[in-house]
Amino acid sequence: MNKKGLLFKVIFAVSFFLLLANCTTAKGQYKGVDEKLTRRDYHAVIAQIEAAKGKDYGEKNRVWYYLDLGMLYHYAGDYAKSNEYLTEAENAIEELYTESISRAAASFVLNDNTKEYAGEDYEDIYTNVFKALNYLALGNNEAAGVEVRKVHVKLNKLETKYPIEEENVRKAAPPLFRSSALAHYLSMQIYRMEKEWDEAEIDRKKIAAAMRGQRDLYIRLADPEQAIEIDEGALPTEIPPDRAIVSVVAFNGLGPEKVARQINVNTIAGFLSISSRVDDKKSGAAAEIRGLFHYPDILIPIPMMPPGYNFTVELPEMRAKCPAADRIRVVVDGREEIELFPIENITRVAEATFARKVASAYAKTLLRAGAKFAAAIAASEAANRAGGGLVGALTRFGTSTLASATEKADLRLSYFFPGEAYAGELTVDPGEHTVTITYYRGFSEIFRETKRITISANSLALVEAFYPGVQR
Amino acid sequence: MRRFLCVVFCILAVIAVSCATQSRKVTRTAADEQIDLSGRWNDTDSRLVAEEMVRDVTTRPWIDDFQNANEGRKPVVIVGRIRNKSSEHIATDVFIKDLERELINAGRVKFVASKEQRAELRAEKEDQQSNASEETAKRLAQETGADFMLQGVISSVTDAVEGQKVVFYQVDLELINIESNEKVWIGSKKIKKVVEQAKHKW
Repeated sequence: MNKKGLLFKVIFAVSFFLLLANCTTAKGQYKGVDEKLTRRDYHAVIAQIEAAKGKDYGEKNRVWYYLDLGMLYHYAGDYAKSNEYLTEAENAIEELYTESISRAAASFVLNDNTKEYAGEDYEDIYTNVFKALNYLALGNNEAAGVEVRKVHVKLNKLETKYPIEEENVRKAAPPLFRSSALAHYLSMQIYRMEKEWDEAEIDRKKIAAAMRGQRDLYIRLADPEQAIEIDEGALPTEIPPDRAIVSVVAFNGLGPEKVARQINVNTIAGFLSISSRVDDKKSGAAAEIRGLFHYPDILIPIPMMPPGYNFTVELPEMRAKCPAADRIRVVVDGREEIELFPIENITRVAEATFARKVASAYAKTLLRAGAKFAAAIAASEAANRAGGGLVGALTRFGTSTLASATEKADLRLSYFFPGEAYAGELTVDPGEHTVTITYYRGFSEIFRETKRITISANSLALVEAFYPGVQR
Repeated sequence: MRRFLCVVFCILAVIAVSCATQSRKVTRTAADEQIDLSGRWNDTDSRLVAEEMVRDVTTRPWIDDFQNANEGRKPVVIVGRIRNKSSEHIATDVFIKDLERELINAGRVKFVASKEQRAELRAEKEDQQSNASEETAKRLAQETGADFMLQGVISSVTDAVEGQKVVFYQVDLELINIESNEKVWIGSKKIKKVVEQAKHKW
């Protein structure tokens, strides 16, 4: 084969595969969304997401699309529509347990973005929490109870989903999410509405047990050293016959996002150098994290290692978005007030469940990347011998670029789950009431929401609030 | 040339297969045929439970006891609330309809309209007092009161691992004397399903 022919084939092959390398996670659908959320212009965000259906989502990301819309319709108060989308997401997640062999094969060659997005475990679980809230808002307590029971079934399944055989590894592994205090709180409210006091008492005890038995998950986002605990006395089981209870669930901030950790591999004569950084586009430049975290620079002596090769592998990581508010107070009729207690750290649950899953995904990524890089080095060395310096250099550049371009992290994750949940309640007289929920950062008020409710004797009204603001 | 023709033939074959393959097919089937698709509670479960429960309730001594104490008249039954305490959304109204049908067809009890139906009937009767002729207007306060109410609960226990789950349903029904609150019959029916889902497909 002559040099010109070989050069042409190399350029053609690299161009062809670079087209395929457009298997990355696009997140253009979220541009400008935070500002609209803070303004509570949910319908504008819904329109933006719907417009991105074909472009940024596509059929293989329908779970992602349904989750985003389901949550937005929930915040917009269209509970029936929210349930439609969240149910579509839930059903699709269940179907996608069965993986397509062809897509799985493609992910071994390219990256995980070729696979259909089947949702993260925490998305699957909290879909049912929000469906329960939707049904409660629609006055269907029985259906809400079904959704809460589904949460418990999914948590039981999660216990055996990522088995760890080695005891030492198990001890060092991220905490396992077994029981949701928020789900038990909703269940408790449902039983109280149905006057089933014994069942409500069981759920009340399970709220406290969830927090005490999973301390690593029940920490405050604002202060990870502080464990979340419940004052059980603040949650009486029975509703007094001549009074009523206003129960408030307030969601704070937004859930985590996935970011790409870049592992850079460079070859120097006789050595392999590995360093890592998190690709933080928001900071305007990649943030160098040399030696600060658990990915220090590594220099490995490898005899005969040819110099001049540069490869990049991306691994996905969860990153928390710290909520703007750290306190939430509720005032009823301008007189009676309480401070809500944090009941669930949804971000921490997302991080822990993702960390349990990700070990095998990392191993697959590194294996695949290693195979590509070895093939790239072999191809370049062969081209160098066959075609000389220019062909060899072009091949080295092309195959390195190709291998790196196809190693993109799967950053798909729904945007609109909240970061934290707070709860609390007051006992009031039956009748009409004004409930004001105020979010604070320290002593500064940052957001206030007022709702009007009518409540009869010996009954319970569940009021929900949400402030999506996060610290920048 | 041969290679080129081969490629063209393969492309044409793929197109032909794609066109020939229908994405949706409809087949009519008997209404009582047992078909399980998703593993969830379905019309077969509802029908089988209703048939068995009603067969049980209408063969127990409470009917004879009632007739002996009431000059041979048939007991009047109404279906009350069937609560769903399972981890699936179950159309309990479909189940209630199945129960009502089986009770009527059993011929040993009389059956009256449910609470929602009574509300509509009463509204119609009220309307007739003002708008229908005296001969045809139906009289108020002439309803047949139910003697017994059938109430129940559907619950489930699910044991699941990746790709496989076992769902155990239990349907518990009680027949209660409306006047004395006495429970004259308790029935229970259990269903267990194993659902398996393949990890891979082509």
